[in-house]
Amino acid sequence: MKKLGIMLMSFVLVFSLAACGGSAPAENAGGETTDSGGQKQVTLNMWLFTGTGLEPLVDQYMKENPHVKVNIQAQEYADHHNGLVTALAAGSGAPDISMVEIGYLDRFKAEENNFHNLANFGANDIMGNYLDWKVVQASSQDGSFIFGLPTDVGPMAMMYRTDIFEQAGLPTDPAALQEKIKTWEDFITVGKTVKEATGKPMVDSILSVFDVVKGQKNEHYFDSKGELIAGTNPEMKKAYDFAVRVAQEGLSANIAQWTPEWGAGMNNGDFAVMLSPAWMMGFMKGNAPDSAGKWNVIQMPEGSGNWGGSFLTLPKQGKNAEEAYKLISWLLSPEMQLENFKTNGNFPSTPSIYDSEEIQTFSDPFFSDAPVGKIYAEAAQKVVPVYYGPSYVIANTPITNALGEVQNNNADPEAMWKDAITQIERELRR
Amino acid sequence: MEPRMDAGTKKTRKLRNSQSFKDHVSGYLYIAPFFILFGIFTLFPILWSAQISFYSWNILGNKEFIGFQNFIWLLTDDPRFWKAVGNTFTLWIISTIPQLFFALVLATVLNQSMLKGKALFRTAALIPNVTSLVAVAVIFGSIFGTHYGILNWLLSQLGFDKFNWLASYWGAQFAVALMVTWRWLGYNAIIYLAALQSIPSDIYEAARIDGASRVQQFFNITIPMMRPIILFTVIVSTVGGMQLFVEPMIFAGDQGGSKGQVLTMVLYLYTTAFTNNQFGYASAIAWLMFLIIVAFSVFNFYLTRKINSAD
Repeated sequence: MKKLGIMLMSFVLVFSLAACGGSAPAENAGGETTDSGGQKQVTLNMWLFTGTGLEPLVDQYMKENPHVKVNIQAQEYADHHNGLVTALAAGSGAPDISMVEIGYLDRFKAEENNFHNLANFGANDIMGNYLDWKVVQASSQDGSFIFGLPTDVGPMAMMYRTDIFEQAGLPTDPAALQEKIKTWEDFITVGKTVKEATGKPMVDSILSVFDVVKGQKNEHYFDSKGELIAGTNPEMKKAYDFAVRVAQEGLSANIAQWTPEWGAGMNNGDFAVMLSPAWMMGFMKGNAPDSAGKWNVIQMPEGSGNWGGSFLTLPKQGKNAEEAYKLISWLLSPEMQLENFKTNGNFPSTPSIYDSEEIQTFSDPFFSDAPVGKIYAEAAQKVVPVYYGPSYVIANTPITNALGEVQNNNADPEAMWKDAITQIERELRR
Repeated sequence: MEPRMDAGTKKTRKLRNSQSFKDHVSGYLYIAPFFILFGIFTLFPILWSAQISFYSWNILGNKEFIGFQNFIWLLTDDPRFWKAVGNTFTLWIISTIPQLFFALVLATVLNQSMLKGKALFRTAALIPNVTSLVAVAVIFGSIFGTHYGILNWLLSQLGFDKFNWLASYWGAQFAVALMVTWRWLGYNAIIYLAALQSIPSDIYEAARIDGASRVQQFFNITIPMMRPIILFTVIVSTVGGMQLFVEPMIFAGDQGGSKGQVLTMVLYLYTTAFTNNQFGYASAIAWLMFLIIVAFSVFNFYLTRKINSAD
């Protein structure tokens, strides 16, 4: 009897362990049931990464549409995207709605059949609401396939330390300073003045300069046919050479982004400017509290730039695409994006609301009461569309490594550039 | 007892009801959970990765069969891979040797009868081992920071220039090795301590009567008696050292620094698979890494036998 009991127990153990793998997706799968009222009850699964600020808006949607229930799963940025890749590769487990950030979008774009074409749900009627360059990002090369609806954008502006500029005898008034920094050449001139007068470098790292200068060009490492042009595109080499010059003139503080030293550097004024997207404002306030009121804002020289921004996509594995589309088109409408801007600071991708009271008058004492809302709205409309290509990260990493070597170890920039191009070719063939 | 296949049905039924048959079945059931999980989560991925190492595959798209091409590239034209192999071994050497040496010293100190509060010190020695790795890496990142790091502050107090630890080759290697050493020192010390305590005291007594000094006792009694345990810790550290991943990743990023200062084999495997999404190539790295570890283990085994039969 005792033996039988143990045998039974081991059976139970084996099957419960085996069931572990199977039960989770079953719970996650979206279901449709009909409630007593006759309206179809729908459960939508939605994957976000943390910090999108969309959750309260989704709650509002559920209140207004009682037949819809949304399960939100928010994960850390990289885990979220890797989870989506895994689910798509495995063929099951992907949600009805998934957020995709621009850094990962082109990778997914290369695999159209994993996503619903939002044009089939009438997305073409509303794409006019969004910034042109953002629509280009969201669509296939020929524009026939729409992968996702745009969420926020990350237009770039230049934050500068008024205390350091004053010390260097430079104008601290934004209008006057804007006159002085119209081109990247001016940027270096001003940087040298700052360096000579105060001993402080202009920027945190040459990598942030490289990103902005590069971001102002239409073509980066790949042409629109997907061919590698990193080694032959003169614009790319120019951006690289400019970043090298910033290092060689001693205008970089050599502080890597996202390190504890970076926040400390911002706080203590170790560098005179921050090239920062709209969403960086929150980060600066959180990590550099002592620098409150010492920052002011002007436009970037020679255009703007964009850092980040996302899209809401509908993976084909989802079961309720129609309802999911209704949710995302509501969630990313100009009105709701304005709500999200007010509560979470995410900068809207819908230019129609840029003239609204809330954005035009948005300012912050942390940034000397500069009209940051207005400045970023203007910057957002100056961003140029860029073709990234599915292997963008593979091409970009060796170049940033090369710049890191130039900045930190005085490596020969020409040799580093050549090595980086070879390394890109090596990694792309795999 | 051997089941007889040529027996009649009656006999089979009898056999099935027999106690020893039931024992067999329950025995297999007992070990089944392990082997089922092992099969699903270990054996299958291993075999499958062997298969995809012959493909070019970005996980979402189609697999393309390319034969041994991945291995050919790895062996003939991938300086980053060989850099990663080299780094893994240098990091292993500069972290394991001091680690085991100081662990032995620490264990000897902890074993002294005059030491008060033994339990406290022994617990403290093990704390680094149970601290979250991410927390450890963040703290070490702050210690080795260029501008606000404690170490550079100390250096500047002593009149030296600030040193960019992360950017220099040996600086970064030293930092990561120190992180590993700090984490595993106490763990190895506790194992050594257990070994020290199992050495019978009458051997020491006899040595003392024969006039052996403390140093002589250490080298002629303690070390030989602890040989199997030392070998055990060497093997465990080797396994850990070959798989070094989290410390360099959090200290220097997923590229292991701008020139791959602390790029280890596993870190290279990870970026190839999860940053570049090149799963075929990553699988080839995994198999080559496996062969390297096998070769190293054989060498280790040979060395072990040699040491064990030294006297």
